[in-house]
Amino acid sequence: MQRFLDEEHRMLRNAVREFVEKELMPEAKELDEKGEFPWDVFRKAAKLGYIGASLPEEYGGAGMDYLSEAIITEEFMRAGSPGAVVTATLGCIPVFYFGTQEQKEKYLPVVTSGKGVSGIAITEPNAGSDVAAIQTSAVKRDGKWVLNGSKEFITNGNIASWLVIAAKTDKTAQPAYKGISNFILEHPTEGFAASPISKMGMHCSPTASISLKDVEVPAENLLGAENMGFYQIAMFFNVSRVFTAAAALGLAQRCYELALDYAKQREAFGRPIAAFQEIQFKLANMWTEIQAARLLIWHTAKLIDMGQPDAAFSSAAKVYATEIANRVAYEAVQIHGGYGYSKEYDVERYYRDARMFTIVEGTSEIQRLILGRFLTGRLKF
Amino acid sequence: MDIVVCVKQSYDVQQLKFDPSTGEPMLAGAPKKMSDMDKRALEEALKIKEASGGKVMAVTAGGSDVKEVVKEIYAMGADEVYAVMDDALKDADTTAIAKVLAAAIKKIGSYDLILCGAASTDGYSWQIPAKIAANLSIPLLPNAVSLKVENGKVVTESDLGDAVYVYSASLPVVVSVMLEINEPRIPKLSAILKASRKPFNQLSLSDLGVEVDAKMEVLSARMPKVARKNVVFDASDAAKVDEAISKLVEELHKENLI
Repeated sequence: MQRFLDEEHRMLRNAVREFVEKELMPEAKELDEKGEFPWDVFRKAAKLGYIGASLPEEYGGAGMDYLSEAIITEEFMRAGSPGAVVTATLGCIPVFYFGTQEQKEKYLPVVTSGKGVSGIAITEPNAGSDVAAIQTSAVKRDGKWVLNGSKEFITNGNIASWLVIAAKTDKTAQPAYKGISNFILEHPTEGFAASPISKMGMHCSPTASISLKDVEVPAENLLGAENMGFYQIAMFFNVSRVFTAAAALGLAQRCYELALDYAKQREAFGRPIAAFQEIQFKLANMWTEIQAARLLIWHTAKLIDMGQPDAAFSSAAKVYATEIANRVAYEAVQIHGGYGYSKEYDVERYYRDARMFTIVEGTSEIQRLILGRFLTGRLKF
Repeated sequence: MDIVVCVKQSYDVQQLKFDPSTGEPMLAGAPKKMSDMDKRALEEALKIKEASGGKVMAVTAGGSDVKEVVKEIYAMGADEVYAVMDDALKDADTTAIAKVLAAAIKKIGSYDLILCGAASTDGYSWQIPAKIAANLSIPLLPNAVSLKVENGKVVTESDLGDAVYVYSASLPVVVSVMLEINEPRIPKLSAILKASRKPFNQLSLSDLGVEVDAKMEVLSARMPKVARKNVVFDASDAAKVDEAISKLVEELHKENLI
C-alpha cells in the first residue's frame, strides 16, 4: 500500500512511525494506565512539526496536505490512546477555515508550537447529532458576548488552552440551525468549569463536561459571521471525520499486527495457530478491511486537498474505518484467546479504545443517515 | 571541517519476507531503508558540524532506488549529497563499491573526515570502510563507539570484540561507527519537505572513470533455520527432580551455554 504514496509522504510516514515506536510505543501501556494526556510526547511531536502539519508555515504548521495529516494520525494511533496527542488541533480546523487573520495568528501557533492543545465544544447533554437543538446561549452585552449553558463529551475540554464553542445567538431563527454561532474561548476564563469524564477506553485523551456561567467572550472572538456556525460545523466535520477514520485505522492496523504476531507464536495441537484455516481467514478479513479503509481515507483526504471536500466520502470513510476497527479489534482479542482479555496483552486496551470511534463525531447511524440522504436525494427524515 | 559520510540504501531486513517453499528472501519490491550504522555515521557527522562548524557531504552508490535515500539524507541535515547511480552497481561486490565510493569522494574534492557504518544492515560484510581507506591511502579507525575530533586529530573508542581500544589518528581519516555511538535524529517535517527541493547530484561511473567488473555471485541466501533438539528432562515426580537437574546442567555444559 505504501507504494501508492509519493516519496515525500513515504518519508513522512517512516519518520512518524520511527518517532511513535521510539517515543510512544514503549510507554503506551503505562501512559494508558495513568490515563493522562502525554504532554512530553505532545511537545516533542510539535517540535518535529507533526502537530498541525497541514496548517501553513506562517502559523507554525508545515504547509503539508490532509493526506499527510491522515498518515500522521494513523501512525500516532498505532500506539492506542496515547497517540491522541494529534487531537490537539481539533479547534484549529474551524479557526483556520473561518477565523480572521488576527485569530489565526493568535491561536494556531499555541498548538503548533506545543504550548497547548485546542478543542471544539458542540455536543450538549441533550443535543449530540442534532446540532440545531443546542441550548447554550450567547448574548451580546456591553460590547461582549456572554455565554451560558453546558457542554458534554468534549475532547480536551479540561486541558485545552482554547476551545471553539458553539452557541445559540438567535433563538427565534427558523430553521433553528440558522441561529448558531461559534466563539473562541480562552482558558482559564471566569465562569468556565470543566470536569473530566471517566471512560471505558481512550484514557490518554481527556473528555470533559463543561459548564458556562456568564462567561464573557470579547467581541473579536466571534468566529466568522454571526449565525453561520452550523455551516462552519458542517465543514469542520467534513475534515475531522477523515481524521477520526484515520485514528480508528491506526488502532486496527496495530491490532492486526499484534494478532498476526501472536498467531505465529502461539502453538496449539502441535503447530502455530496461524497454520489453522480459521485463524488465517480471520487474518485475511482483517487485512483486507484495513486496506479498503485506508484507500477510502486517503481518497477522501485527497478530495479535501483538491478543494473538493465531500460529506458523503467523509461519512463513508468514518463509518467504514471505525466499524472495521471494532471488528479487527474483536478478532484480535479472539485470536489471543484468554490472553486477549487480560490486561497483560495490548489488544485488550485497543479493544476498549476502538469502541469509542463508532460513537464520536457522529455515530455510525448518523453517518449512514447522511449517506442515505445523499444517495437517495431524500432530505427529509 | 569537511566531512563525507558513506551511506547505503539497504533492505529493511525486519520487513523481509521469505519464500516458504525455498527459504529464499523475496527481494522484488522489498522495502528499503537507510542502513542503520550509516545513519549513525550521518548523525555523528551532523553533531560534529553543529558543535564546531564545517560541511557534511554524503555519498551513496547503487541502482536507481538510491533516490529515496538521498532525500532522507538531506532531511536529516546533510549539506550536499552525491549519488553514483548505475545498474552495474546493483550486484557489485564490496571491492567494486569501495572503489566507486573512494572515487566519488576524490571527485567531491576536499575531505578531512570520512564516516561510514561499520557494516550494512543487509550485506553485513564489514569490509567497505577498510577498502575505502585503502583506496584513499589513509588510516581507518574501525568500529567506533565514541568519536572526538580535537586539534586536527580524531580519537575513537573502538569496540573490536575482545576489548574497547582507544585509537588516535591525524586527519584525514576514515572512521567506521557502530550502532552504540549515538541515537540518530528523526527529521523534522519541514526538513522532509525541504529535502525534495535540494539538488540531486548524480554521478555516473564514467564521470568517475571507474569500471565495475568484479561481480559477486550469491550462491545461496536462506532464512536461518533454528533446529530444536527437543530434549526432555523427566521431572514428573519429586524423586526424579535431582536427576533431571543434573542432566540439564550436563547438557547445557555440552552446548557451552554455562
